[in-house]
Amino acid sequence: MNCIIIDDEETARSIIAHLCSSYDELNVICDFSNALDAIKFLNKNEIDLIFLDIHMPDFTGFDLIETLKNPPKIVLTTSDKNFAIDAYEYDCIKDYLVKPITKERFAKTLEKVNKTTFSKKNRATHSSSDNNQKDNELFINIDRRLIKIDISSIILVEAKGDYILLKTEGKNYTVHSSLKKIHEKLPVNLFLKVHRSYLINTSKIVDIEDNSVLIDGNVIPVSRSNRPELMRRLNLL
Amino acid sequence: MEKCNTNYIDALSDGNKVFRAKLIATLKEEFPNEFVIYFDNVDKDLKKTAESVHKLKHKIGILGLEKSYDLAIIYEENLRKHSLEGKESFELILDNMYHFINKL
Repeated sequence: MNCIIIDDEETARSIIAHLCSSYDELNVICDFSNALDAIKFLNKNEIDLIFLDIHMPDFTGFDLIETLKNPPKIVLTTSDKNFAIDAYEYDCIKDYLVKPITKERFAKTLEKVNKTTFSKKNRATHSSSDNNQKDNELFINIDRRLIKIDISSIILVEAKGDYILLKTEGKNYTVHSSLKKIHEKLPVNLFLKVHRSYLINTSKIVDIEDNSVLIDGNVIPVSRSNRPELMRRLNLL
Repeated sequence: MEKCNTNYIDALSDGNKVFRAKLIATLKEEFPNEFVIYFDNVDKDLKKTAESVHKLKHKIGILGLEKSYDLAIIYEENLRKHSLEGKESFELILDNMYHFINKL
């Protein structure tokens, strides 16, 4: 995937380029410190993905998007923690990253970018109820028994050292695994890591306060870095 | 006063000494300019000052100053509302960063 980075801050460009370098599928063609130079480049070259800073002097990230007839996939980068809503008025915007960008958050963004490609490619060829079935289930290993869990019944997952505590609507399970491993198995649109020790099923949220969520009687802390993503997922009035 | 740290830089570098050195060099080069631009604008042009604060927020985050980052958000919002409330605290943050970056 050929990509470019547009950001007026060299530190930010350097960090994004470094993050991209960990992925074979990402090929950073070049980076730009201003939108106008990038537009000239985009008029002559085909690019798959742009990491685009919103807040640039003179010409913002949104101004740049408006100038492109067929914009490629775009990941916005911003220092605005509260930023979220405007971005999703554009189909080309696949995600936004709040600076400073962590490796973990960057990986999730790539999942989202790849997922949109993947789902578009497969929409025509897969009708598969089998796959849907698999997507809805998770088998966990407890005392050498594989127990089937309905993914939608999972309320939250808590990290407990080398184990995770899986709280479901019917029962709780302690499994020898990590939060990272189970997160990879769960649908990204439903589950969100809100804290280094907690994954939650966002559809089960009862209410949210400043730095915590109430979910099925459990008050779960929300770390500052994960709050913007949580807020982004809400259907806010 | 919150202390600057290199936790984010270290986590990002993940043992890559070349990248770590390059990132620190970039910070050392870019921060003093942003510092000067901020002080050139403050008290003269609140919109430009807000832009400076916005840009500096990233580096505040990079140096692990979580509370300071929140103060910078509030100060930036105040500047956009034509208020200098939070100026003193923000400038202490800049001093803090300036000394830390100089020692890196």
